[in-house]
Amino acid sequence: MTNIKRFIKNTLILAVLPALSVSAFAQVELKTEMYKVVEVQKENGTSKIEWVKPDSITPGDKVGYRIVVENKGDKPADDIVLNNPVPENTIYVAGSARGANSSIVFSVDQGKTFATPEKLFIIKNGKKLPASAKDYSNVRWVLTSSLKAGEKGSVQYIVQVK
Amino acid sequence: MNKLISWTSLFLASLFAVQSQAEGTLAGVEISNQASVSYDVGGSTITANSETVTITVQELINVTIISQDSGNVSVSSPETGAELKFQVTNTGNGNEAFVISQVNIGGDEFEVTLSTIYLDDGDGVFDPNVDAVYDNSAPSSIAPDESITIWVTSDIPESLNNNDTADVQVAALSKTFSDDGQDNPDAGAVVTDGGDSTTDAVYGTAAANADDTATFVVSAIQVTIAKAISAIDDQLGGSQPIPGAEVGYSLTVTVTGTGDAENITASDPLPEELALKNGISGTINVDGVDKTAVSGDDNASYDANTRTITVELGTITAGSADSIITFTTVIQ
Repeated sequence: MTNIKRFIKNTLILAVLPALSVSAFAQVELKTEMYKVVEVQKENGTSKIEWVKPDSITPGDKVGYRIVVENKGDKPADDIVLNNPVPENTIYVAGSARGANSSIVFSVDQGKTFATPEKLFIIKNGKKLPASAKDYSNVRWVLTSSLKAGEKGSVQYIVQVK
Repeated sequence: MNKLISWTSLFLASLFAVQSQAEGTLAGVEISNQASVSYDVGGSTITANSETVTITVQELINVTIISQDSGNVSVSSPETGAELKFQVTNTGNGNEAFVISQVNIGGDEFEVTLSTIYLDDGDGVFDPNVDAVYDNSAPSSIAPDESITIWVTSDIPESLNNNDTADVQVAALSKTFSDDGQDNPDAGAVVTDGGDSTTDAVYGTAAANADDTATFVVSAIQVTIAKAISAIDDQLGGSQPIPGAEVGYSLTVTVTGTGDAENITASDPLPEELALKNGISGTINVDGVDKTAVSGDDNASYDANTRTITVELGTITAGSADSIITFTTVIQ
Protein backbone atom coordinates (compact mmCIF):
# COMPACT_ATOMS: atom_id res chain seq x y z
CA MET A 1 0.00 0.00 0.00
CA THR A 2 1.46 3.29 -0.97
CA ASN A 3 1.77 6.25 1.31
CA ILE A 4 -0.64 8.17 -0.85
CA LYS A 5 -3.32 5.52 -0.43
CA ARG A 6 -2.76 5.35 3.30
CA PHE A 7 -2.98 9.11 3.45
CA ILE A 8 -6.25 9.09 1.58
CA LYS A 9 -7.71 6.34 3.79
CA ASN A 10 -6.68 8.03 7.02
CA THR A 11 -8.07 11.29 5.79
CA LEU A 12 -11.36 9.62 4.98
CA ILE A 13 -11.63 8.07 8.43
CA LEU A 14 -10.78 11.36 10.05
CA ALA A 15 -13.38 13.05 7.94
CA VAL A 16 -16.09 10.56 8.87
CA LEU A 17 -15.20 10.24 12.52
CA PRO A 18 -13.68 13.54 13.58
CA ALA A 19 -14.57 13.05 17.27
CA LEU A 20 -12.31 9.99 17.64
CA SER A 21 -9.23 11.76 16.38
CA VAL A 22 -8.83 13.47 19.73
CA SER A 23 -7.48 10.39 21.55
CA ALA A 24 -4.58 8.80 19.77
CA PHE A 25 -4.84 5.20 21.00
CA ALA A 26 -4.56 1.90 19.16
CA GLN A 27 -6.64 -0.66 20.99
CA VAL A 28 -6.41 -4.08 19.41
CA GLU A 29 -9.05 -6.52 20.59
CA LEU A 30 -8.83 -10.25 20.26
CA LYS A 31 -11.62 -12.75 20.13
CA THR A 32 -11.28 -16.52 19.84
CA GLU A 33 -14.14 -18.40 18.19
CA MET A 34 -14.38 -22.18 18.14
CA TYR A 35 -16.12 -24.50 15.74
CA LYS A 36 -16.52 -28.17 15.01
CA VAL A 37 -14.90 -28.92 11.67
CA VAL A 38 -16.93 -31.49 9.76
CA GLU A 39 -16.80 -33.08 6.37
CA VAL A 40 -20.24 -32.86 4.78
CA GLN A 41 -21.13 -35.33 2.03
CA LYS A 42 -22.88 -33.70 -0.88
CA GLU A 43 -25.42 -35.37 -3.15
CA ASN A 44 -23.05 -35.42 -6.11
CA GLY A 45 -20.69 -37.66 -4.15
CA THR A 46 -18.14 -35.03 -3.28
CA SER A 47 -17.66 -33.63 0.18
CA LYS A 48 -16.89 -30.25 1.62
CA ILE A 49 -15.50 -29.01 4.87
CA GLU A 50 -17.75 -26.92 7.09
CA TRP A 51 -17.19 -25.09 10.34
CA VAL A 52 -20.26 -25.58 12.51
CA LYS A 53 -21.35 -25.09 16.13
CA PRO A 54 -19.04 -27.06 18.44
CA ASP A 55 -21.63 -29.53 19.71
CA SER A 56 -20.86 -33.08 20.84
CA ILE A 57 -17.09 -32.89 20.59
CA THR A 58 -15.56 -36.33 21.15
CA PRO A 59 -12.07 -37.83 20.71
CA GLY A 60 -11.02 -37.78 17.07
CA ASP A 61 -13.15 -34.74 16.26
CA LYS A 62 -11.56 -31.66 14.74
CA VAL A 63 -11.96 -28.29 16.36
CA GLY A 64 -11.32 -25.11 14.39
CA TYR A 65 -10.19 -21.96 16.19
CA ARG A 66 -10.61 -18.60 14.51
CA ILE A 67 -8.89 -15.68 16.14
CA VAL A 68 -10.47 -12.38 15.17
CA VAL A 69 -8.29 -9.32 15.65
CA GLU A 70 -9.74 -5.83 15.46
CA ASN A 71 -8.13 -2.45 15.86
CA LYS A 72 -10.68 -0.46 17.81
CA GLY A 73 -8.33 2.44 18.32
CA ASP A 74 -7.61 5.31 15.99
CA LYS A 75 -3.96 4.65 15.25
CA PRO A 76 -2.44 1.86 13.20
CA ALA A 77 -1.08 -1.11 15.14
CA ASP A 78 2.27 -2.31 13.85
CA ASP A 79 4.26 -5.51 14.28
CA ILE A 80 1.24 -7.54 15.26
CA VAL A 81 2.08 -11.02 16.55
CA LEU A 82 -0.71 -13.46 17.37
CA ASN A 83 0.03 -16.37 19.65
CA ASN A 84 -1.98 -19.45 20.47
CA PRO A 85 -0.80 -22.48 22.40
CA VAL A 86 -2.18 -25.73 21.00
CA PRO A 87 -4.69 -26.70 23.71
CA GLU A 88 -3.99 -29.66 25.97
CA ASN A 89 -5.48 -32.97 24.85
CA THR A 90 -5.39 -31.88 21.23
CA ILE A 91 -2.90 -32.11 18.39
CA TYR A 92 -2.34 -29.57 15.68
CA VAL A 93 -3.65 -30.68 12.27
CA ALA A 94 -0.82 -30.41 9.74
CA GLY A 95 -1.25 -27.62 7.23
CA SER A 96 -4.36 -26.17 8.88
CA ALA A 97 -3.04 -22.76 9.99
CA ARG A 98 -4.19 -19.91 7.76
CA GLY A 99 -3.67 -16.18 7.82
CA ALA A 100 -3.21 -13.77 4.95
CA ASN A 101 -0.30 -11.35 5.02
CA SER A 102 1.37 -13.28 7.79
CA SER A 103 4.20 -15.66 8.25
CA ILE A 104 3.12 -18.64 10.31
CA VAL A 105 5.64 -20.24 12.62
CA PHE A 106 5.41 -22.99 15.20
CA SER A 107 7.05 -23.98 18.45
CA VAL A 108 7.91 -27.43 19.76
CA ASP A 109 9.19 -26.13 23.11
CA GLN A 110 6.14 -24.50 24.69
CA GLY A 111 6.71 -21.19 22.96
CA LYS A 112 10.36 -20.58 23.79
CA THR A 113 11.43 -20.65 20.13
CA PHE A 114 9.52 -20.50 16.87
CA ALA A 115 10.35 -21.56 13.32
CA THR A 116 8.74 -22.69 10.10
CA PRO A 117 7.92 -26.43 9.93
CA GLU A 118 11.02 -27.49 7.97
CA LYS A 119 13.28 -25.89 10.58
CA LEU A 120 11.71 -27.57 13.58
CA PHE A 121 13.36 -30.54 15.22
CA ILE A 122 12.74 -32.67 18.27
CA ILE A 123 15.15 -34.81 20.25
CA LYS A 124 14.00 -38.39 20.58
CA ASN A 125 16.14 -41.12 22.14
CA GLY A 126 19.13 -38.78 21.81
CA LYS A 127 18.51 -38.30 18.08
CA LYS A 128 17.58 -35.07 16.37
CA LEU A 129 14.50 -35.75 14.24
CA PRO A 130 12.32 -33.49 12.08
CA ALA A 131 9.27 -32.41 14.10
CA SER A 132 5.81 -33.33 12.91
CA ALA A 133 2.49 -31.58 13.46
CA LYS A 134 1.74 -33.59 16.59
CA ASP A 135 4.84 -32.11 18.24
CA TYR A 136 3.69 -28.50 17.86
CA SER A 137 2.97 -26.75 21.14
CA ASN A 138 2.27 -23.23 19.86
CA VAL A 139 1.20 -21.46 16.70
CA ARG A 140 2.29 -17.91 15.94
CA TRP A 141 1.20 -15.55 13.19
CA VAL A 142 3.59 -12.65 12.50
CA LEU A 143 1.61 -10.14 10.45
CA THR A 144 3.52 -8.49 7.68
CA SER A 145 1.25 -5.45 7.49
CA SER A 146 -0.07 -2.98 10.00
CA LEU A 147 -3.67 -3.13 11.17
CA LYS A 148 -5.16 0.25 10.63
CA ALA A 149 -7.68 1.90 12.90
CA GLY A 150 -11.05 0.21 12.53
CA GLU A 151 -9.66 -2.69 10.56
CA LYS A 152 -10.41 -6.30 11.35
CA GLY A 153 -8.91 -9.59 10.27
CA SER A 154 -8.66 -13.16 11.34
CA VAL A 155 -6.38 -16.16 11.40
CA GLN A 156 -7.29 -19.76 12.08
CA TYR A 157 -6.09 -23.27 12.65
CA ILE A 158 -7.48 -26.72 13.40
CA VAL A 159 -6.72 -29.22 16.13
CA GLN A 160 -7.84 -32.79 16.59
CA VAL A 161 -9.05 -33.95 19.99
CA LYS A 162 -6.86 -36.79 21.27
CA MET B 1 -11.39 -2.71 4.73
CA ASN B 2 -10.78 -6.41 5.25
CA LYS B 3 -8.09 -6.82 2.68
CA LEU B 4 -5.27 -6.59 5.17
CA ILE B 5 -5.91 -9.96 6.73
CA SER B 6 -8.17 -12.37 4.99
CA TRP B 7 -8.33 -16.09 5.02
CA THR B 8 -9.55 -18.93 3.02
CA SER B 9 -11.77 -21.69 4.24
CA LEU B 10 -10.69 -24.17 1.61
CA PHE B 11 -9.25 -27.21 3.20
CA LEU B 12 -7.87 -30.38 1.79
CA ALA B 13 -9.85 -33.53 2.32
CA SER B 14 -6.59 -35.18 3.27
CA LEU B 15 -6.78 -33.33 6.57
CA PHE B 16 -9.54 -35.75 7.39
CA ALA B 17 -7.60 -38.94 7.06
CA VAL B 18 -9.00 -41.41 9.53
CA GLN B 19 -7.02 -41.46 12.72
CA SER B 20 -7.36 -44.41 15.01
CA GLN B 21 -8.27 -43.50 18.58
CA ALA B 22 -7.93 -46.36 21.00
CA GLU B 23 -9.19 -44.51 24.00
CA GLY B 24 -8.78 -40.78 23.70
CA THR B 25 -9.36 -37.87 26.01
CA LEU B 26 -11.73 -38.92 28.76
CA ALA B 27 -15.32 -37.71 28.74
CA GLY B 28 -15.76 -34.57 30.84
CA VAL B 29 -12.26 -33.17 30.24
CA GLU B 30 -12.30 -29.49 29.30
CA ILE B 31 -10.23 -28.19 26.40
CA SER B 32 -9.43 -24.52 26.96
CA ASN B 33 -7.90 -22.08 24.52
CA GLN B 34 -6.75 -18.49 24.88
CA ALA B 35 -5.01 -16.48 22.19
CA SER B 36 -2.78 -13.49 22.79
CA VAL B 37 -1.53 -10.62 20.69
CA SER B 38 1.31 -8.18 20.89
CA TYR B 39 1.60 -5.05 18.77
CA ASP B 40 3.38 -1.74 18.60
CA VAL B 41 1.77 1.62 18.56
CA GLY B 42 3.62 4.86 18.77
CA GLY B 43 6.82 3.07 19.68
CA SER B 44 5.48 1.11 22.66
CA THR B 45 4.58 -2.58 22.73
CA ILE B 46 1.19 -3.62 24.02
CA THR B 47 -0.14 -7.10 24.71
CA ALA B 48 -3.69 -8.37 25.03
CA ASN B 49 -5.46 -11.69 25.47
CA SER B 50 -8.66 -13.10 24.12
CA GLU B 51 -11.21 -14.57 26.48
CA THR B 52 -10.67 -18.25 27.19
CA VAL B 53 -12.96 -20.49 25.22
CA THR B 54 -13.70 -23.98 26.52
CA ILE B 55 -15.09 -27.15 25.06
CA THR B 56 -16.02 -30.14 27.20
CA VAL B 57 -15.16 -33.48 25.64
CA GLN B 58 -18.30 -35.62 25.40
CA GLU B 59 -18.50 -39.38 25.85
CA LEU B 60 -17.85 -41.32 22.68
CA ILE B 61 -19.49 -44.74 22.73
CA ASN B 62 -17.35 -47.30 20.92
CA VAL B 63 -16.96 -51.01 21.43
CA THR B 64 -15.37 -53.97 19.72
CA ILE B 65 -16.39 -57.58 20.12
CA ILE B 66 -14.04 -60.26 18.84
CA SER B 67 -14.36 -64.05 18.71
CA GLN B 68 -11.60 -65.69 20.74
CA ASP B 69 -12.04 -69.17 19.27
CA SER B 70 -9.38 -70.20 16.79
CA GLY B 71 -11.36 -71.54 13.86
CA ASN B 72 -14.61 -73.43 14.04
CA VAL B 73 -15.74 -74.82 17.36
CA SER B 74 -16.37 -78.59 17.30
CA VAL B 75 -19.61 -79.78 18.83
CA SER B 76 -21.57 -83.01 19.10
CA SER B 77 -25.10 -83.57 17.93
CA PRO B 78 -26.89 -83.15 20.23
CA GLU B 79 -24.98 -81.08 22.77
CA THR B 80 -26.20 -78.85 25.57
CA GLY B 81 -24.46 -75.60 26.46
CA ALA B 82 -21.75 -75.53 23.79
CA GLU B 83 -19.77 -72.35 24.37
CA LEU B 84 -18.27 -69.65 22.18
CA LYS B 85 -15.72 -67.22 23.61
CA PHE B 86 -15.78 -63.50 22.84
CA GLN B 87 -13.87 -60.50 24.08
CA VAL B 88 -15.74 -57.22 24.52
CA THR B 89 -13.55 -54.08 24.66
CA ASN B 90 -14.74 -50.59 25.53
CA THR B 91 -12.93 -48.43 22.96
CA GLY B 92 -14.80 -45.28 23.98
CA ASN B 93 -13.60 -42.55 26.35
CA GLY B 94 -15.95 -43.16 29.26
CA ASN B 95 -17.30 -45.93 31.45
CA GLU B 96 -19.98 -47.86 29.63
CA ALA B 97 -21.93 -51.08 30.00
CA PHE B 98 -23.08 -53.16 27.07
CA VAL B 99 -26.10 -55.31 26.38
CA ILE B 100 -25.00 -58.53 24.69
CA SER B 101 -27.22 -60.24 22.14
CA GLN B 102 -26.80 -63.40 20.10
CA VAL B 103 -28.51 -64.37 16.91
CA ASN B 104 -28.46 -67.27 14.45
CA ILE B 105 -27.11 -66.29 11.06
CA GLY B 106 -28.76 -67.86 8.02
CA GLY B 107 -27.08 -69.55 5.08
CA ASP B 108 -25.58 -72.39 7.10
CA GLU B 109 -26.72 -75.98 7.72
CA PHE B 110 -28.45 -75.65 11.07
CA GLU B 111 -29.64 -73.26 13.72
CA VAL B 112 -28.68 -73.54 17.35
CA THR B 113 -30.93 -72.87 20.33
CA LEU B 114 -29.42 -69.78 21.86
CA SER B 115 -28.86 -70.21 25.57
CA THR B 116 -27.19 -68.44 28.47
CA ILE B 117 -24.40 -65.84 28.26
CA TYR B 118 -21.77 -65.99 31.00
CA LEU B 119 -19.20 -63.45 32.19
CA ASP B 120 -15.78 -65.03 32.57
CA ASP B 121 -14.41 -64.72 36.10
CA GLY B 122 -10.98 -63.79 34.79
CA ASP B 123 -9.31 -67.16 34.30
CA GLY B 124 -10.35 -67.50 30.66
CA VAL B 125 -11.72 -70.98 31.32
CA PHE B 126 -15.42 -71.66 30.92
CA ASP B 127 -17.06 -73.01 34.04
CA PRO B 128 -20.82 -72.44 34.29
CA ASN B 129 -20.63 -73.20 38.01
CA VAL B 130 -18.14 -70.40 38.61
CA ASP B 131 -18.66 -67.87 35.82
CA ALA B 132 -21.67 -65.65 36.56
CA VAL B 133 -24.58 -65.38 34.19
CA TYR B 134 -24.21 -62.13 32.21
CA ASP B 135 -26.94 -59.84 33.44
CA ASN B 136 -28.21 -57.90 30.45
CA SER B 137 -30.64 -55.96 32.61
CA ALA B 138 -27.82 -54.54 34.74
CA PRO B 139 -24.47 -55.27 33.10
CA SER B 140 -21.37 -53.95 34.87
CA SER B 141 -19.72 -51.02 33.15
CA ILE B 142 -16.34 -51.42 31.50
CA ALA B 143 -13.69 -48.73 31.93
CA PRO B 144 -12.23 -47.12 28.78
CA ASP B 145 -9.83 -49.47 26.98
CA GLU B 146 -10.71 -52.35 29.31
CA SER B 147 -12.08 -55.71 28.17
CA ILE B 148 -14.28 -58.48 29.46
CA THR B 149 -14.49 -62.07 28.26
CA ILE B 150 -17.91 -63.60 27.78
CA TRP B 151 -19.10 -67.10 27.01
CA VAL B 152 -22.09 -67.43 24.74
CA THR B 153 -23.68 -70.86 25.06
CA SER B 154 -25.97 -72.65 22.65
CA ASP B 155 -27.73 -75.99 22.51
CA ILE B 156 -26.94 -78.07 19.43
CA PRO B 157 -29.86 -80.05 17.93
CA GLU B 158 -29.75 -83.81 17.43
CA SER B 159 -29.49 -85.80 14.19
CA LEU B 160 -27.10 -83.41 12.46
CA ASN B 161 -24.61 -84.57 9.87
CA ASN B 162 -20.89 -84.53 10.28
CA ASN B 163 -19.32 -81.17 9.32
CA ASP B 164 -22.64 -79.31 9.43
CA THR B 165 -22.02 -75.73 10.52
CA ALA B 166 -23.97 -73.01 12.29
CA ASP B 167 -22.97 -69.36 12.49
CA VAL B 168 -23.80 -67.41 15.61
CA GLN B 169 -23.44 -63.64 15.66
CA VAL B 170 -22.86 -61.87 18.95
CA ALA B 171 -23.35 -58.13 19.24
CA ALA B 172 -22.78 -55.51 21.94
CA LEU B 173 -25.06 -52.49 22.25
CA SER B 174 -24.36 -49.54 24.53
CA LYS B 175 -26.65 -49.75 27.55
CA THR B 176 -27.01 -45.98 27.51
CA PHE B 177 -28.53 -46.13 24.03
CA SER B 178 -30.51 -49.28 24.82
CA ASP B 179 -32.06 -47.58 27.87
CA ASP B 180 -32.86 -44.58 25.69
CA GLY B 181 -34.79 -46.81 23.28
CA GLN B 182 -32.19 -46.43 20.52
CA ASP B 183 -31.57 -50.05 19.60
CA ASN B 184 -29.92 -49.36 16.24
CA PRO B 185 -28.38 -45.91 16.48
CA ASP B 186 -26.50 -44.26 13.65
CA ALA B 187 -22.98 -42.95 14.17
CA GLY B 188 -23.30 -39.52 15.72
CA ALA B 189 -26.58 -40.29 17.50
CA VAL B 190 -26.75 -38.65 20.93
CA VAL B 191 -28.21 -39.42 24.33
CA THR B 192 -28.31 -36.07 26.10
CA ASP B 193 -26.61 -36.23 29.52
CA GLY B 194 -26.07 -39.96 28.93
CA GLY B 195 -22.29 -39.80 29.30
CA ASP B 196 -19.89 -39.63 32.25
CA SER B 197 -19.68 -36.31 34.14
CA THR B 198 -23.03 -35.17 32.69
CA THR B 199 -21.65 -35.16 29.19
CA ASP B 200 -23.72 -36.35 26.26
CA ALA B 201 -23.21 -39.89 24.99
CA VAL B 202 -22.31 -39.84 21.30
CA TYR B 203 -22.52 -43.04 19.25
CA GLY B 204 -19.22 -43.71 17.49
CA THR B 205 -18.55 -45.20 14.10
CA ALA B 206 -16.86 -48.28 15.55
CA ALA B 207 -19.89 -49.02 17.70
CA ALA B 208 -21.95 -49.55 14.57
CA ASN B 209 -19.86 -52.61 13.80
CA ALA B 210 -19.78 -54.04 17.30
CA ASP B 211 -20.48 -57.62 16.42
CA ASP B 212 -18.62 -60.74 15.43
CA THR B 213 -19.55 -64.19 14.24
CA ALA B 214 -18.27 -67.60 15.30
CA THR B 215 -19.07 -70.99 13.81
CA PHE B 216 -19.99 -74.32 15.33
CA VAL B 217 -19.11 -77.40 13.32
CA VAL B 218 -20.54 -80.82 14.05
CA SER B 219 -17.69 -83.18 14.60
CA ALA B 220 -18.45 -86.87 14.14
CA ILE B 221 -16.45 -87.81 17.15
CA GLN B 222 -15.93 -86.05 20.43
CA VAL B 223 -13.67 -87.09 23.25
CA THR B 224 -14.24 -85.49 26.62
CA ILE B 225 -12.63 -86.08 29.98
CA ALA B 226 -14.07 -85.20 33.36
CA LYS B 227 -12.33 -85.31 36.71
CA ALA B 228 -13.97 -85.78 40.09
CA ILE B 229 -12.98 -86.47 43.68
CA SER B 230 -14.43 -89.81 44.73
CA ALA B 231 -13.45 -89.85 48.42
CA ILE B 232 -11.23 -88.21 51.04
CA ASP B 233 -9.93 -90.29 53.93
CA ASP B 234 -7.90 -88.31 56.46
CA GLN B 235 -6.73 -91.57 58.15
CA LEU B 236 -8.22 -90.25 61.40
CA GLY B 237 -11.73 -91.49 60.79
CA GLY B 238 -12.83 -88.32 59.00
CA SER B 239 -12.66 -86.68 55.60
CA GLN B 240 -10.58 -83.55 56.18
CA PRO B 241 -8.13 -82.69 53.36
CA ILE B 242 -5.12 -82.48 55.65
CA PRO B 243 -1.51 -83.59 55.01
CA GLY B 244 -1.44 -87.36 54.96
CA ALA B 245 -5.08 -87.65 53.89
CA GLU B 246 -5.84 -89.93 50.95
CA VAL B 247 -7.83 -88.39 48.13
CA GLY B 248 -9.43 -90.63 45.53
CA TYR B 249 -9.92 -89.29 42.03
CA SER B 250 -11.79 -90.56 39.01
CA LEU B 251 -11.28 -89.59 35.40
CA THR B 252 -14.15 -90.31 33.04
CA VAL B 253 -13.37 -90.42 29.32
CA THR B 254 -16.42 -90.22 27.06
CA VAL B 255 -16.45 -90.67 23.30
CA THR B 256 -19.59 -89.48 21.51
CA GLY B 257 -20.62 -89.11 17.89
CA THR B 258 -19.84 -91.71 15.26
CA GLY B 259 -16.66 -93.57 14.28
CA ASP B 260 -13.50 -94.47 16.16
CA ALA B 261 -11.21 -92.18 18.11
CA GLU B 262 -7.67 -93.51 17.88
CA ASN B 263 -4.64 -93.25 20.15
CA ILE B 264 -6.54 -91.76 23.06
CA THR B 265 -4.22 -90.92 25.93
CA ALA B 266 -5.52 -89.62 29.24
CA SER B 267 -2.98 -87.78 31.32
CA ASP B 268 -3.35 -86.00 34.63
CA PRO B 269 -0.47 -83.92 36.00
CA LEU B 270 -1.02 -83.76 39.77
CA PRO B 271 -0.31 -80.51 41.61
CA GLU B 272 2.72 -80.31 43.91
CA GLU B 273 0.51 -80.87 46.94
CA LEU B 274 -0.41 -84.36 45.76
CA ALA B 275 1.41 -87.59 44.94
CA LEU B 276 0.13 -90.98 43.85
CA LYS B 277 -0.26 -93.26 46.87
CA ASN B 278 2.84 -95.49 47.06
CA GLY B 279 4.41 -93.67 44.09
CA ILE B 280 5.59 -95.91 41.29
CA SER B 281 4.79 -98.89 43.54
CA GLY B 282 1.15 -97.82 43.56
CA THR B 283 -1.74 -98.76 41.32
CA ILE B 284 -3.99 -97.06 38.80
CA ASN B 285 -7.38 -98.63 38.20
CA VAL B 286 -8.60 -98.63 34.60
CA ASP B 287 -12.18 -99.81 34.04
CA GLY B 288 -12.11 -101.88 37.23
CA VAL B 289 -8.68 -103.46 36.69
CA ASP B 290 -5.70 -102.41 38.83
CA LYS B 291 -2.64 -101.53 36.75
CA THR B 292 0.85 -100.93 38.08
CA ALA B 293 2.21 -97.42 38.20
CA VAL B 294 5.45 -98.62 36.67
CA SER B 295 5.96 -97.58 33.10
CA GLY B 296 6.16 -100.11 30.26
CA ASP B 297 4.34 -103.16 31.64
CA ASP B 298 0.78 -102.09 30.93
CA ASN B 299 -1.22 -99.15 29.63
CA ALA B 300 -1.00 -97.12 32.88
CA SER B 301 1.99 -95.36 34.43
CA TYR B 302 3.04 -92.69 36.90
CA ASP B 303 6.00 -90.33 36.54
CA ALA B 304 7.12 -89.42 40.06
CA ASN B 305 9.14 -86.44 38.83
CA THR B 306 6.30 -84.69 37.06
CA ARG B 307 3.63 -86.38 39.23
CA THR B 308 1.81 -87.22 36.01
CA ILE B 309 -0.57 -90.13 35.59
CA THR B 310 -0.81 -91.41 32.03
CA VAL B 311 -3.19 -94.01 30.65
CA GLU B 312 -3.10 -95.21 27.05
CA LEU B 313 -6.71 -95.95 26.13
CA GLY B 314 -6.03 -96.81 22.50
CA THR B 315 -8.97 -96.79 20.11
CA ILE B 316 -12.46 -96.18 21.41
CA THR B 317 -15.60 -96.44 19.29
CA ALA B 318 -18.06 -93.60 19.72
CA GLY B 319 -20.93 -94.56 21.95
CA SER B 320 -18.89 -97.13 23.89
CA ALA B 321 -19.21 -97.19 27.64
CA ASP B 322 -17.19 -94.50 29.38
CA SER B 323 -13.62 -95.36 30.33
CA ILE B 324 -13.17 -94.76 34.03
CA ILE B 325 -9.75 -94.30 35.59
CA THR B 326 -9.46 -94.17 39.37
CA PHE B 327 -6.46 -93.71 41.60
CA THR B 328 -5.66 -92.63 45.14
CA THR B 329 -3.36 -89.74 46.00
CA VAL B 330 -1.85 -88.56 49.26
CA ILE B 331 -1.76 -84.92 50.34
CA GLN B 332 1.89 -83.96 50.90
